[in-house]
Amino acid sequence: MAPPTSAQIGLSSTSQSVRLSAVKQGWVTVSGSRSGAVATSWNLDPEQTAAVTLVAQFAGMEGAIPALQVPGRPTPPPGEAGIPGTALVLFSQRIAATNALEIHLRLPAPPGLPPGTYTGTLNLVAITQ
Amino acid sequence: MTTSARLRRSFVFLFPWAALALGTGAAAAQSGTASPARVVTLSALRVGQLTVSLPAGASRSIPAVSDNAVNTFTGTTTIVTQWNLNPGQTNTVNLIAYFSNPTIAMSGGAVQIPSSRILGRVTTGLPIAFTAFTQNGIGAVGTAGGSLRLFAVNITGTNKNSSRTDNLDLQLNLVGFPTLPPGTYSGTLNIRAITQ
Repeated sequence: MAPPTSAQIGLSSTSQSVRLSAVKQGWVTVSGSRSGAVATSWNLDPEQTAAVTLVAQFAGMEGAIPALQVPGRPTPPPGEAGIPGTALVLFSQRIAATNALEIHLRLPAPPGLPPGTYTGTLNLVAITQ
Repeated sequence: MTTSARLRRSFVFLFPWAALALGTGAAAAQSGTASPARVVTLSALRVGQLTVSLPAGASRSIPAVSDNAVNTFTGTTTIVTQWNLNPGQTNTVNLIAYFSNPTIAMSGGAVQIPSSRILGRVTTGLPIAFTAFTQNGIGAVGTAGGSLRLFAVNITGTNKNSSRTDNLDLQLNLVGFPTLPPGTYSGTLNIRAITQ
């Protein structure tokens, strides 16, 4: 007696697996205006980010106003951003927020600056930790 | 009863072994008699062989997902399917890729990505263009609404003992899908062959 014709129908192999992974990267943006308003927004993975830190630092002004200071803590920013002594950590937090920023410049002590217009660039950098 | 019959009866009663000896002459007269034929059925079934292996591409990733776009998984998955089958007992060999749970093909946190958002393509097989994993399984292999048949090959005398190699490309279709929160999304795609 021959085996039934369906003897090998439904025969299956063992299962093999393909592991799939997709990563959605977070982002951080900073935008400012001449009025001093700074908007910082982010979309981050809380499991991979502890904090968002906004750092302000002056660039290219060391020669013109070498003793420029800003109130608060002239703390070197975390990471590699900023120049020690010319930067300020504006905030550090984990939640999305829009932070208004009012910048106060304190001019150096005597002899003071001659009357005139002084220009410079204040860089704002947000960093995740 | 005659005298000779009476004597023979007494002889058998007294010497039964002698009666047995005398009976051999009667048995010889029945030589050549056969019992009814009895058929013993012999059957041997050689089990077919069907295997699937993934020599490359068992782990696929998208390093930077873009929302509202079709994202392609890096690389390709190489699938080797081997079989040794009886063409008189097997019509086709089918390769099925499927997700165990079609509603959660991939997940991360509370976000679930259904299998309809995963697209597969095998240029040497059936879905030569990217096709969603929304097909039904075959037999006991696959899941309803979460499967994709990658190829079906007819088994004949010329390919009853053969193999083939196919490459599976995968995409994640996020067009129209809610924006994904940043994070890692993972899932498992099962691949299995079955005969029909």
